Amino acid sequence: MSNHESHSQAHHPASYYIRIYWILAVLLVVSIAGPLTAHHFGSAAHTIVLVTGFGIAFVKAYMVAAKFMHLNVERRMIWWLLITSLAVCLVLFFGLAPDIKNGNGHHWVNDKVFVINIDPVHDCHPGSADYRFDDVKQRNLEEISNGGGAAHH
Amino acid sequence: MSATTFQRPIATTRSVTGISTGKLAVWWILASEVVIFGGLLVYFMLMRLHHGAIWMAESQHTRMEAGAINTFVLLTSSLFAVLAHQAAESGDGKKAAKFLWYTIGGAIMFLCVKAWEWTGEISHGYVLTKNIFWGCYYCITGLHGVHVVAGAIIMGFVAKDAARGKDLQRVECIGIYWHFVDIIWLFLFPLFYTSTAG
Repeated sequence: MSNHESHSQAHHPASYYIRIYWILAVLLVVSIAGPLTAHHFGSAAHTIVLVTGFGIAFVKAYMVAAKFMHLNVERRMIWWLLITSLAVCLVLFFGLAPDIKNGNGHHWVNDKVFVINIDPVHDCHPGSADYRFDDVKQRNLEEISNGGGAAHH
Repeated sequence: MSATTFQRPIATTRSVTGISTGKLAVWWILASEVVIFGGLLVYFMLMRLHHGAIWMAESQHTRMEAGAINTFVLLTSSLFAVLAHQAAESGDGKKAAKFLWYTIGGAIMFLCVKAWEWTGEISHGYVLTKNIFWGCYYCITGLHGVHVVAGAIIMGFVAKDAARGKDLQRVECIGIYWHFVDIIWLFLFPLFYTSTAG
């Protein structure tokens, strides 16, 4: 399909784009209302926040990409270009996750992970009055030497 | 070869791959932007998963109304951008320029809301160095803001030419960039503003 042909397929009347816009506006209202009212739903609150917040964000992003950017009629090459970039992000996620989530591994200890796990609100902030990095670090090292895993206090 | 062959830069209109080279260049830029913003968002999510308590406490202080207004503003500006593209496709440069100026208006409104929001947060002590949450918040939304500024400036040049019927193919290119900026914000909104509600 030539570039000209793909443009022709993407060419819609203004009313088409305005209709998409109103759908996006309604989805925006749902993505605000969902998290704000989620606490009424008890144990399902977390799920509702995730679905209405992030789930709808994906739907909106898809609609903007497909309908406004015309990705739905764009050449496959562009899709692969974007998929490759997203794959790099996934590699980054799984590459960094062990360092951030684990407190220790083979012959290494991430002291700061343990410090932050002790008291996230105070101890992680070097400027706070309760910041006792050395004390916490010492406790963590003792725990590891005693055979303890990642400390989640 | 006559001199008229070079009246336009070749890269903006020729099509080796089936996509005009100018548009392909924009997609390449966006692919690199996906990695830049993706990297920051990956870092943000990992920190969010690991330091849940900080995130829950600190993200209560962001202003959801400002985020919601800005989401609406960017969605509206995206509509104007696609209408500008549609006008350019039908050869109506003046109409395309008019919609591009509306889009720039959206960008200015977005930045005004963002300035108001940041002013309030900074005046309450929620500064870049307060902790990891606010560091992420200012870096990511700041970088996004820089993209809004860059897009608005480029759009101004494109609109000026489009009004004279010149280089209308650029309208689509800047439109694609603008929609991408919008998409990034669609993910920042739940991450920073609504994920702790409920």
